[in-house]
Amino acid sequence: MAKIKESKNLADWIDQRLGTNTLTKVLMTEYWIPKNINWLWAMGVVLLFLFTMLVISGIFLLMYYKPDGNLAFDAVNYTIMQEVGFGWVWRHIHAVAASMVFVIIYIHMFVAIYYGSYKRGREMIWIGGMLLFVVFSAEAFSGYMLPWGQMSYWAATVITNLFGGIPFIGPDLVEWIRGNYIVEDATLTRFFMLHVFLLPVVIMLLIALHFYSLRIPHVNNQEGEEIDFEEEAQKYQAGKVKEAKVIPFWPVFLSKDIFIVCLFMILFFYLVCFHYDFAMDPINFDKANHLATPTHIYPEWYFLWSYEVLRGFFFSANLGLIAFGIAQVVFFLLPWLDRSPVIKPAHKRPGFAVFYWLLIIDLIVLTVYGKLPPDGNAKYIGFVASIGFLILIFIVLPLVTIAERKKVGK
Amino acid sequence: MREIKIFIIVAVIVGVIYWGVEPLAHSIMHPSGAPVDFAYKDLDKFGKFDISKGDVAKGKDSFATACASCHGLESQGIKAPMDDETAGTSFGVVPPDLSDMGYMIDHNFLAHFIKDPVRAAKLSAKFQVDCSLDKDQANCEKLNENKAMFPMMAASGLGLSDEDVTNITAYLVSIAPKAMSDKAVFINACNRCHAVEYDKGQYDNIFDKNAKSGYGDALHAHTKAEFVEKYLGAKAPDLSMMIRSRGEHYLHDFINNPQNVPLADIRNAILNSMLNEAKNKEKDSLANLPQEQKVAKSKEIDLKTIEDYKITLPKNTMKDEWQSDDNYTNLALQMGVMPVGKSMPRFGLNEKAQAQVVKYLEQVGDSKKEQRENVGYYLIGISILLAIIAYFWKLKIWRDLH
Repeated sequence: MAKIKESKNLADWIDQRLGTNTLTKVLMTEYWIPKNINWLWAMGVVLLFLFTMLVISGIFLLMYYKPDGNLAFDAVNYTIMQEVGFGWVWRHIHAVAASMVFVIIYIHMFVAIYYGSYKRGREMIWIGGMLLFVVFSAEAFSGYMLPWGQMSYWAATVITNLFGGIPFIGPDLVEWIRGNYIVEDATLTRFFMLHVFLLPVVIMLLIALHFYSLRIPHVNNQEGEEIDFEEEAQKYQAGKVKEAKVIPFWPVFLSKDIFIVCLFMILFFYLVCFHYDFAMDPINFDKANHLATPTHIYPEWYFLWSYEVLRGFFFSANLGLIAFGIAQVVFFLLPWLDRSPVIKPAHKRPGFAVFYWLLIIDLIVLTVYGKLPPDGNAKYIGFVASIGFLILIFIVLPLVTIAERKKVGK
Repeated sequence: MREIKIFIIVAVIVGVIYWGVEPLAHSIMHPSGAPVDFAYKDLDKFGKFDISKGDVAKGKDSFATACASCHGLESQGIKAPMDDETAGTSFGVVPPDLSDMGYMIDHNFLAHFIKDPVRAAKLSAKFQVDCSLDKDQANCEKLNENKAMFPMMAASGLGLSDEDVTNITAYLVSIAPKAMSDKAVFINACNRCHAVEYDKGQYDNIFDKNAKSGYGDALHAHTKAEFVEKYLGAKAPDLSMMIRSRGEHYLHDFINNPQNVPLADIRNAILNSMLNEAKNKEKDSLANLPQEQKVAKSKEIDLKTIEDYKITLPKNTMKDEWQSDDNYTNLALQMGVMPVGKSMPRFGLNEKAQAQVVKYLEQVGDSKKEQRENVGYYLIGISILLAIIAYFWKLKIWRDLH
């Protein structure tokens, strides 16, 4: 047993028993981050802020929500939105944060791609992040069902139906997922369980993994420079803070992040109170009705690009489903589809930059056309963009990075 | 500088995506119809009424003989002749009490409604119009075929002249209240068919200072849902959340004219009808061919498109002068191909009463709007304050690092 001395103060008392001083050093004051970064490096902390908002608002919503096909819609739209004091604040925060989480996830993800932060030792960070993206998607989808509005219902119908395309087990699988022949009360209660218990727990575990996976390869920097973190840390601790290429997580890195989170809050609360339709589709304020299909069914905006990959193969539902399945997981493979060892921002990798910006444009086209009705030219544009996505990822990316590898002679 | 450059790039990308999935998608999914018309100018061609010239006393007499057998006039002590249940069973819908019509309904519309309710309410897709008002009576009779009689007779059927109609309207205007609460307008205009389950009386004091708020029975519809469905073809939805699911702008257009379909849909309906006609004509010319060839040719014809026949829209000669060139409503009505909007009749509310209905819906469906906006300013203000503090703290910490 450790030697317990008389403690000087409460902090010391706790430290003697829990080693909090060491813990603070490891996690905060001696956890080193590169100094050469910009505001895009704050997206992780912004995501943490949003996730915290989702958990807190979710807890309040849980106090009045009723996971029952007959009660859910009124529990949300009458009880929470109108009767409970400030209930609407929590619902609006929850809905807007759910949508904004994806804005920031996509920024976070494409920053990593831009700066090459997914390869050469950073693969686990990337995979952890992608797992978070997938589980967040499931969390968003299950949560979208809970208000039991028209879009909740029909999006659930369309998406669960997709599993029917899997050979042999498809139809049985759909029934098993729904717990009924159609989306019904049983479907609602099981998605409620996923949304408020299983998936959040998995998300928290994955966040821990994601943070932990940063420890060994460390955070990347603006130039992709390889930093000797121990040497730079010693410089910093020796007082040569100007010269050192690293900063401690607390308070230096976080002081910048907290400023950016505060700026983000201005936008966030503006959206929560004044401009929320993008996150709370008006159609979902119509009660779920399994006899009336809405004219246009579309997923939330963050699923539109992969939904368009599914619809893009308009002549074959099976091909569409396969392409959709690939699109869902293809980003996991990014560290291996990039065949070059170069870690630099895209603007210093000409071939890669072409791939990067074409990919961004393609994803924007897919997103926009994913919402529009597939008539006339729209379906051909969707098809070209879907094929384009697969070509970019599976052909263009390996080719340009192989060329790059040869150029640097490795 | 670099930070700002990056911000601009990110903002442009996010902005383009937002524009694509919100404004662009909405404009494509909800194409525009004709502009809102509170003068109900489409009725002008069936006669002009000057209500100010109406004789109130004569109107009162005409009302007693022509209207009171179905309608009540409670403010004048005339009770509805039947209770809701009996009236619903016999007419399909509970006839409204007319005490407040002069306040809510546009006077010109009201006269036209008495003259030919089906045309005024734009229910000609389901019910027979009064063909005596039509220039082309033969075509009108043809379009009337297989349609039901409207529960309320047109003026000509009741033996009422335009003068009588003017007088009755003037009478209804003369007895109308000078002011009504938003909820009272709603109850008179909408509540016969529509329920508002979220209005349990908790806002009554907001609508009317003399009323007491309290939680009681929800606002149920007067007419049973099955009756409405049988009468108009669809159940009337509960309106509790309409302000959030449809929004003020849509409600403004929709209540004014539930048949305000996108103008492009009207043009397409005409083109499709012309296409079918051309196909049928070509098929008729096959009559002398052997059966096998006939079937094969017919199949070919079925696949033909507007381009194959070089069909174009005719010049819009039938439009009224106040209608835009791309508004083909009159031609579509004449051809009997006008696309049907919602099952709801046009009710003829004047602009003020309609605004009151929308306000009522906002109170019951979005009761926290005012609070939301106030809280919004606070939250944004606090965030700005925090951002300023955080900025100076960051400056202090980073001062020695560069």
